[in-house]
Amino acid sequence: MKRLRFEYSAELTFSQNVSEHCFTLRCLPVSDGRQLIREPVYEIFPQNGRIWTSRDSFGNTLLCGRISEPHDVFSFRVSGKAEIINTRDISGFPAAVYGYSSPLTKPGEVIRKFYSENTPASNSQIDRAMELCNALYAAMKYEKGKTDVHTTAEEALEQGAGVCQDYAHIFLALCRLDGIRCRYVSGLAFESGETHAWTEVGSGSCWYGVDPANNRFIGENYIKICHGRDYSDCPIERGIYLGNSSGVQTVTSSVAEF
Amino acid sequence: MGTITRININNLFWLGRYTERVFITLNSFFRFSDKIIEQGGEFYEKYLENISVPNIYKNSDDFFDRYVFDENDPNSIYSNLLRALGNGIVLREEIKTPSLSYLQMAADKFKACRGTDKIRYDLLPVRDAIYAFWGSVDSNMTDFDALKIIHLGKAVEHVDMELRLSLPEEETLAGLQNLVKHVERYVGQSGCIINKVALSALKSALAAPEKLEQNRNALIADVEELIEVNFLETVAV
Amino acid sequence: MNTPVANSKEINELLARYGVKFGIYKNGSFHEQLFPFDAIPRIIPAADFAELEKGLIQRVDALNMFLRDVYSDKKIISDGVVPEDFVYSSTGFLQQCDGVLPPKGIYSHISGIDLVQAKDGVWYILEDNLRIPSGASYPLIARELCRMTSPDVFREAQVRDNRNYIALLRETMDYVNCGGINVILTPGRYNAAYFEHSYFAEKTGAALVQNSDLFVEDNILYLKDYQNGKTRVGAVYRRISDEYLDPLTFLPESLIGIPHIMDAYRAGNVALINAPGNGAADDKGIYYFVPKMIEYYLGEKAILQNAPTYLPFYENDRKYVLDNLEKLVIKDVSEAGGYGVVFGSDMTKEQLADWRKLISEQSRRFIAQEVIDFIDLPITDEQGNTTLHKADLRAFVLSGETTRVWCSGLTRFSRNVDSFVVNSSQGGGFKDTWVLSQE
Repeated sequence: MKRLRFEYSAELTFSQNVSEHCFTLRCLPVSDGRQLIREPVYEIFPQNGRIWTSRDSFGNTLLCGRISEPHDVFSFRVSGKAEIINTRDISGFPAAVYGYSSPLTKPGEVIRKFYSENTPASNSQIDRAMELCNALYAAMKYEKGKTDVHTTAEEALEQGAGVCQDYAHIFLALCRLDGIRCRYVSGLAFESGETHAWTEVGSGSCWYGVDPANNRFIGENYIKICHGRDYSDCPIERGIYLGNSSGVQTVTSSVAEF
Repeated sequence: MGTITRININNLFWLGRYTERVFITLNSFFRFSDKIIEQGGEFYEKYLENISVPNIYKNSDDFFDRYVFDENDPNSIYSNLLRALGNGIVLREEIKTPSLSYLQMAADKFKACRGTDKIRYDLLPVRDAIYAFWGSVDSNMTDFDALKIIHLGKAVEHVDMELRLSLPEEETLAGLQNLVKHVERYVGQSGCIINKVALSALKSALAAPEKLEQNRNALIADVEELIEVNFLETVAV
Repeated sequence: MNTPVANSKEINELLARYGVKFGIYKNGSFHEQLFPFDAIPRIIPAADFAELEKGLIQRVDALNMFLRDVYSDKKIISDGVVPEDFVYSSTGFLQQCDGVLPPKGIYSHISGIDLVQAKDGVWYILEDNLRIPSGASYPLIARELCRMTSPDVFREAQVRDNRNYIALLRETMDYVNCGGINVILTPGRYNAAYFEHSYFAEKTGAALVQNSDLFVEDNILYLKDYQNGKTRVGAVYRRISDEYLDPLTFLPESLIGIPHIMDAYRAGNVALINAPGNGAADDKGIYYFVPKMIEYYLGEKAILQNAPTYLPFYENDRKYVLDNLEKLVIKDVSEAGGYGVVFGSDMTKEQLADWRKLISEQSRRFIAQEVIDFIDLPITDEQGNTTLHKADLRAFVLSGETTRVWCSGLTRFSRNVDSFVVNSSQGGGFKDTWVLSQE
């Protein structure tokens, strides 16, 4: 078992005041069969809004809110402790829906061709998934700025470059072609810096964490925040507001052993 | 009793204004078309000047056609009627189907009259339908707050048009009196915002009727600014 | 029994007067059109309707049970009645609705079931519309007007009064209402069915609202009034489609949705009529399985028949389809409306070969149906002559405390004599549908 202390904060600065700001935050990590979350604390600014909790159909906890008053900065901060009690999530039998393609993982010709050239030879689902992960890792180059949050798996593989989110999407698309149930994960994995994206592969009654951008199973310092079929199911922050303004987001996070 | 939403307030107010605008312009146009029997068609230029509508017309025939019937001429009587109808369409559940049907009939009849050689006679049913519309909203509407907002729009437009058209002073003053009363009695609860400076200017005008003529343009501005109907519009993601 | 109403002209004038219109977009701009009315009613004898009524209630009940099942235990999948593929690959299945039980467990409150009657008199189900079926307002107001222009006809004919639709609609909203007022949510004036939205609001007393009139706090939906007060909303008869409903759950670019309305719905604090996610039960691929659903959930044989349908997904069906392609109609399950529909009889030899290849390769994507030669109904044209046109029937089934079929329906006919297309946006017209109270 490993004990971790985590912190995550994000700040959205608008070019002009916005109002009637409604948002949904998937920023609260939850306990599952792999991690236990202790003493989670959150703060949201400005504080004159209304905040309440909800839950989505993927099992994520949502912080919902509405801030009517004009504001030009919006920020939230989450911190707490986590105990990593297992190498895999043993809490549930993977649902069938995770075997089907989703908006950002729909395979096109590039992914189908890649899959047919790299069809795994192993028997077990986990081994097959790792074969696909290896092949993908060899074919992709980690490069920032070539993709954005809307880039599909097909587009990312076609250009051969992307970031952790793209690696995750391509990997999910390949696994699903292979009949493997799998899902997208957002979380914290680094001592400091940004959030990370990885995946979970379903096998038996377990979910195994696989980090395609690093071509390995996830380590003990990974804290999962939320999951979905792909990124579009579970963005950490999603909002809508009145006002003709563009926002700039800065994110900081940290995970440390204690 | 229904709940009036913020968008509805705006539509109710402008429904009153446009319907009244059509009615008064139509009456004024009827008087003008009677005069040209003696004065000749070119008299229209003077008429336009009076009602401060830009003269974009080629000649008298063009004026009679487009100023009255052209839906692409934003100043035409028909365009204003379509605006009244447009506001009515989004208020069917407030004003009720029979009231809306009178605006629809007015618009359909109006359109069918284009090209007529006896314009006053042919457009009479349009005026009848507007009378019927007012009778219908008064009889059928169940939400009296909403009804008052339509009448507020009507009262504002009435004074505005009388000032613009230089109608007899006693009529204008009566309309102004009515508007001030309406604002003071009802508007507080209506969701409309009153411009207090404009209101006190109108009250001073009532106290000094002899200055009406010299203050005409300032009063028009005061009437236009009397009521503000505000609501948020743009949404960005 | 032959006492048709003959006043098409008068009634069309009245429909214009009352602003009974539908909007269409042509070359990028919005136009409103009258929906041409033909006064000769479609007449359904009492005994026929009794049979239709039984069949429609059975079908809609089974569809509601199916929706409840696929969004919870998914027994129909684990029992092998409906293949998993047909649920999860359907664009109508919304994972965001999984595990959500709507108020009173009702998913499809207002179902529009499209039927055609074949020349031998048998009724066939053409499609189920469980999302936001529209059109009931047209025969409703038309009946009102027909009674005005032809009172004697109604005195003699034993026609069941259809004007209870408003009461049915209101009871349906009230039954699932979670506390608060009823509202009708419209995307606005430029929606094709805006007349219907405003007419139903007027008649049922529900507030007609747009998204900016509503907001959610603490998972409760409120209506803002002009004084910045708020009124709780208990039921939303929403006339905007699922993907635009909540920009924080579905399409983020939706400007006509209400943020967090899905959270209020998930928390059981507001009823959405119809429930989001109903597309899982009315898509072209699932249609094939409806008779099986009826047997599975109700233990009964389906009373109303589907048009004979084949799924190339199954080997036997695929063989039949490939052998008989020239007489079948092929539909792409992912396409909506009249798109993605091709008739084998219109294909050249090369096209037939191409289609056989495509169907073999992508068997999940298509269904094939026998072409039904459905009956023609008489229409009077402007010169007073009678011509025969294809016509279908949209029956409205309302599910509240009980499931009830409206004793009328929207009969639409094609514009051209030889056309099978009865869609209103294609220039067709409509008729009143008379259900007789006795033979």
